[in-house]
Amino acid sequence: MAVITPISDYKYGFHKPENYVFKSKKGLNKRVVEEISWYKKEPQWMKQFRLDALDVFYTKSMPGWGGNLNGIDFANIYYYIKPTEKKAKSWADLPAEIKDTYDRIGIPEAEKKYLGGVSAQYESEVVYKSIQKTLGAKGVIFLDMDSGLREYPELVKEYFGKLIAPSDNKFSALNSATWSGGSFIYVPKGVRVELPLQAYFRINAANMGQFERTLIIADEGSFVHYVEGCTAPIYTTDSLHSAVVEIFVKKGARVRYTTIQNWSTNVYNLVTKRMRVEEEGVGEWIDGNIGSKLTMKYPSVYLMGKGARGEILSVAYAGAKQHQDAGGKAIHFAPFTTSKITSKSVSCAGGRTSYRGLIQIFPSAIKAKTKVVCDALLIDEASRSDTYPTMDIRHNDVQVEHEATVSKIGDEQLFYLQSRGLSKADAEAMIVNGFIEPIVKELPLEYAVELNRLIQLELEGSVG
Amino acid sequence: MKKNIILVESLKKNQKFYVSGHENKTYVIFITDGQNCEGDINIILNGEDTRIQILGIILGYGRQKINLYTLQDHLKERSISDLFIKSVLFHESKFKYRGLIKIEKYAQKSNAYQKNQNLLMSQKSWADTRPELEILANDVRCTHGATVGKIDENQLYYLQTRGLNKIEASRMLVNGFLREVIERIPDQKVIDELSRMIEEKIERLTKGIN
Repeated sequence: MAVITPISDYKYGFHKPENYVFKSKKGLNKRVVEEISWYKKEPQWMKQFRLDALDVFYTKSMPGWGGNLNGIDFANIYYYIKPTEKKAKSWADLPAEIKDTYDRIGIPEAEKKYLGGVSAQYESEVVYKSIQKTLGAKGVIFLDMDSGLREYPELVKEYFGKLIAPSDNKFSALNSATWSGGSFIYVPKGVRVELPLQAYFRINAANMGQFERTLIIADEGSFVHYVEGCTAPIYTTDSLHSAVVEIFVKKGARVRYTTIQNWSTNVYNLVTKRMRVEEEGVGEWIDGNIGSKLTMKYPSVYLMGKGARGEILSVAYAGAKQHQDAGGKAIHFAPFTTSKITSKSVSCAGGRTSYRGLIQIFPSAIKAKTKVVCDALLIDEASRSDTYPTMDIRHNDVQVEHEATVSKIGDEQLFYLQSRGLSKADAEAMIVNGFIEPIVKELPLEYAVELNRLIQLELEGSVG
Repeated sequence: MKKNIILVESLKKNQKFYVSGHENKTYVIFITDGQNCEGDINIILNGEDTRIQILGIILGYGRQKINLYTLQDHLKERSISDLFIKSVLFHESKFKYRGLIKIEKYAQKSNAYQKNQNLLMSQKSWADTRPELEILANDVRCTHGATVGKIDENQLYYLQTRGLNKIEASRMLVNGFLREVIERIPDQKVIDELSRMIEEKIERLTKGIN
């Protein structure tokens, strides 16, 4: 077997030289926020929104639950970096360095062309974007958030920050004050976007925070699948990623949002994601968390209209020194609403996974139904798994179920596979891949393949 | 013989029970007196090969608020704990439950179970349940489950087709719901006594059902 010299102990990490046009000063204050807004030539209301959010950020305390956030030093972070002056219009226009980054993530050449709008985020801003002409003809808007604000100010103003207010939590306030990049999607009435819309995210500057902001509006009877995937290079110091994602699912519409999060293991990933689902609408989160030092992320569905449905599939993998505190929330406000949360977590090499969830059913939600299933797998004795669900049920005409199991890989299963000639690592990987399969099969093919490969690599490392 | 059934009829702060090696105990939480109450029951399995059962019968009514916290803390190897708590909530009663299973690092080969089922008898009754797990050892098996719902309409209908009126049918279903827990008590005398007390209460509480 060929010997490959490792670049670092993070297997998927690689660090490109920095080449930036504009970089804000380290740290957070009124001036930095004003500068970001000025630099982006934003309307007055957005500048005010940012400044108000900054005040909220100062007054909010850090969450007293979940993971350990002591390592975050807000004063030691760059809040805005603009990578290149102009956005590339086609793949060929992209700087070679950025193209190289994408090649290393392994987006196949054929796929680059085939995929619907590929929007790649390198640093704080979307630099490459190709929207199929057909999308435009159908009236679908797919832009980075900054362009969305410039080109559709009224639409943005109507929805921006309406579902996740800056005052929601400390990190939504931080994002509201410093946001940059992310996606803006509008799907008109009755339009089905058949190809998944994808965005690739990368951060590449040490100590740079990514505060992207995504807003999706699916008008009545429409359908869209948005895919967000991340891999990040390794840094020497801690990095912070704190996104806000707001999704409006109108009457009879359906939105599916898929994330594969694979930040390098020094990144704090603290994300607020919420969907508001109206009558007969369907909102789906598929949330995979593999990387980062600490993830705290609980995608939620607010079921506001009669018969609305929410589904959350969550898969988490925690290796050495990682803590995945993930889960989901379903809040039922309307009659005949249904929700389902499925969580699968794997802890390995001293890693810790926690499922944290909330089911809330208000008296207005008669005949609501919900089911939560959490399964956890512990690979070795150094690892840890927690389950923290909350079910707050405020009337009786409902059906609520929750179940969870925690177990290890069965010795019999391992023995059987090894007796068939598999190595221990291969056998474990096979069992783990089988364990998370119900979620993986919901992913677009290329992500499913990548996820399986990643888990195999992780386990090879852990068993030595 | 050591007494191995412990009846907990009132809740208070910081109730702790230590269980040592090779002991086999059953704790019965029995709250039916209609008073507001709040408290925690911490069971520390501080020995190898311990086995415990925690059974709970909660009857809430009026504007009662019940706030219960349980802990099953496994410190040593091969310990088994099994918790099963059911509540039946009438009127505007509110039951808040938080139950934690903790398997410490050196408690390998332990098993822990936790099940909480809540029957809401009125539109205004609430259940807030949080079954939690913190697992620090790997060679273990833990499961927990929780449900909240009302009396099954199909069962109610079936009993009514058999000639019972709605009140009698509801009574039978509520009693049956609680019986599943009571029958796990390893002492027939205790089972009989508690069943009698529950049936009387249920008879009174279901009178107003329509």
